[in-house]
Amino acid sequence: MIDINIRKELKSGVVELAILSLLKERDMYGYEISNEIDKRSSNRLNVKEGTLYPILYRLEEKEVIESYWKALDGRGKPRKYYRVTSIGDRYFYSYKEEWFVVSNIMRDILIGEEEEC
Amino acid sequence: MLAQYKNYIEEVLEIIETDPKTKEKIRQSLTEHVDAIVERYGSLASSYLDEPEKVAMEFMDNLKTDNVQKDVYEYPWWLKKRGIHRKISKKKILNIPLYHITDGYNPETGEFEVAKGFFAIGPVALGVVSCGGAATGIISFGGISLGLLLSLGGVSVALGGAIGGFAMGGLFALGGAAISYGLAFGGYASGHVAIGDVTEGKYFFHIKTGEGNAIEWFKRYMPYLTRYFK
Repeated sequence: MIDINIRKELKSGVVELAILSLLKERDMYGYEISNEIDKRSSNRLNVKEGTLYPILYRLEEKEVIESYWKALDGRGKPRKYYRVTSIGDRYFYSYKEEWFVVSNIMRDILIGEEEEC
Repeated sequence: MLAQYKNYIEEVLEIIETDPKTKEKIRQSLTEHVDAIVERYGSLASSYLDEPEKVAMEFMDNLKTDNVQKDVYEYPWWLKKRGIHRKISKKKILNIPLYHITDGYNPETGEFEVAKGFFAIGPVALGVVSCGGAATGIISFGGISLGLLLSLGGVSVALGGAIGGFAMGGLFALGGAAISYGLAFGGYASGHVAIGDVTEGKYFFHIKTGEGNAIEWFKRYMPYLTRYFK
């Protein structure tokens, strides 16, 4: 598991983008998001509640996402589902764009560094 | 939700230092999160929960720093920032905490709180045994105290015995001014049997003059005490 090696500053950005990407697909509740990230990253990116919820609070505060309560199949305990807002749509695409640009730049820099070595 | 999981959430929240509003948000998120884990793993759920300290630290690490308070609580001016501020026992008797000690400020709601417990200590305390500025209980001690059995305080009122500056008791009262249905002892004493400087009662005894008929009452009802009387 590479989780422990991801620095807090980097992890927060990565998880934020991952959350938005998942919520773009469908509305999800907290635990479902963390589970889905686990699954899709083959358990390499482990998002615990202490990381997940503060990010969700921040995104909701910025109106990038919004929440609503819904019981599964109309039965059982209602859960807080999150979805991306129209502001969030724009935020997500520009964030994604930035991510690709930055990761390409960083790859060039880091690979260049390795070659120099 | 099972008590063990509720306690787990409370343990996490106790460690997290943040404002009441954020804490409430975290409580809601954690409840839902733990519920989902329990639903998925059943009786094995607890093994999927991290140590409360670890969860709390991660929350604090990731919360905005301006939400995290520098001190334990944001105290109003009338409270000192030292000593015990608030302690509530997790152990309960008849759904009442064994003890509840408070300085009167509830950091979770930001409002004044009354100490309510089997043993209650606070500015306003309500308990079986209570102690405080204003205390009510079966046995109570305080500035103003109201007790069922016994009360002790500046102003104390009890169905049983009351001891205080101003004491009003059903069975007995002892104080600067003592008023009782039964026995009253004090500077001013009023009761069925009144003993003091100024007395009002069917049976009375003036301490200064040594006059009164209270001795008859004691001889009839408390003969074991009268052996010491001249």
